[in-house]
Amino acid sequence: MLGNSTFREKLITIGIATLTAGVIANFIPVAYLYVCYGVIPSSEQLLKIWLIAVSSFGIGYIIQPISFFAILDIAGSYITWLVGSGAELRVPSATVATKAAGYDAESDEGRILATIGLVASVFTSVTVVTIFVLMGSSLIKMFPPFVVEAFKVILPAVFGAIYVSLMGKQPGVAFVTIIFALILTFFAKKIGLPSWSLIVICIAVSIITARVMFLRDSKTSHEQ
Amino acid sequence: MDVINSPGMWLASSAMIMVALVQSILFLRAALAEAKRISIPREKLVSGFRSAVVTSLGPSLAPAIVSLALISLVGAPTTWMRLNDVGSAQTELAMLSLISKAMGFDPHMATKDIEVFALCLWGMALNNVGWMVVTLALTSRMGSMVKTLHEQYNPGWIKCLMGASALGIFSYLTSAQVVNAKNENWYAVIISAITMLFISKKLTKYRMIQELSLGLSMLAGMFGAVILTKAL
Repeated sequence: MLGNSTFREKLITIGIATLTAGVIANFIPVAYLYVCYGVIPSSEQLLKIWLIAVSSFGIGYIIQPISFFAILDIAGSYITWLVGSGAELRVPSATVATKAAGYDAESDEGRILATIGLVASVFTSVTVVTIFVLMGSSLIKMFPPFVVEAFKVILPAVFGAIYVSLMGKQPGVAFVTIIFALILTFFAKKIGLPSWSLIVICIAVSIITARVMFLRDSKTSHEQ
Repeated sequence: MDVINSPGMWLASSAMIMVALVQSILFLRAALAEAKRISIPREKLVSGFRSAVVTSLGPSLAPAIVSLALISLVGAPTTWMRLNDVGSAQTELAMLSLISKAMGFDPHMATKDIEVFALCLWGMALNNVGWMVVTLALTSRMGSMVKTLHEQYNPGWIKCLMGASALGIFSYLTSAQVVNAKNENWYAVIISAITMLFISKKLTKYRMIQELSLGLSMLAGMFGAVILTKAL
């Protein structure tokens, strides 16, 4: 952590002010739909959506900012949890900036260079994404029928690839979980399970499987 | 439905990008002032900045192909905003799919029905605000929390927990796309999964391909499914 407490305080002040602005900006599109078109979901629908979000990603809301803090520090945390891409973009950029300048990551100089690296990564990613979205939106209008047809299966194609990329170090957990999820989804309607509950059950089964395998592996490596 | 790509939607979506840029400028100014105070040479700052720009170019390209998926579902302005905020393309697609399953509509309907579009926008907003609020509440005293977490829990288990949680989410999302669905969906899942497996196991030497692996697998799954459906 940065030794200079004035600098640290400054980073916290900037972080709190800008992230608060980010929370407001996050809701501007939905406010726009309400103000200009009078469209807003009912309170029951909003509660349902929020529960889906919390039950699916709630663990990440708490665990991710805490577990990344040791690498990201103050400025990095405020930047990452506003603009995203912590592991694949922000951390490497901060690390490279520190290394390129020849400082130790734990020094005050290293922390400053890390902040500069993080900022550089934001400028780069915002520019690249903006260019691609503008290009993509013009491209999409010119697609021939064959490509338009392929877009109908875009979600299964994305989810299949993501699942394999997540398997990583837990192929056993991934295998058990996907088999369970397929069976559960198949029988859900027959046994009258509401669709919102399926995601919670799948997460629970995956975590329990991971815990069992983690304890088994720990025990095995302990015995060796 | 014109609203999803309307000038008003572009303007409303630009607020988040403005905040991100202002935040970065303020942090940069603070870092440069502190660098001057402790006498870090200018060339070292330039070297660090330049290296970070080069390093972040590749990973920034990664969501580019996937952005097509989001554009086709919620339009360009929303995609622009959501790819520049905390939720990754995968998270946003997952959230859209989860809401559509729970509310009983086709995710592609968001481009045609303003009520469905509003549900999708609310879903992404309510989800992303979770990370922001926790960061706002905890970051200033995060040092001691990290210490407690490391003292009380095995870091290896925390990693497993996060991985398992993500597997749980995407196991359901993948199953929901194929169970009681057309063969085309099965083909898309299987082809994209095999492509991803091939890239991550056999093409490890090619960094650029690794960074674009999700987009490439997605394209292989989409087009492979259409070709296979027509052929069989």
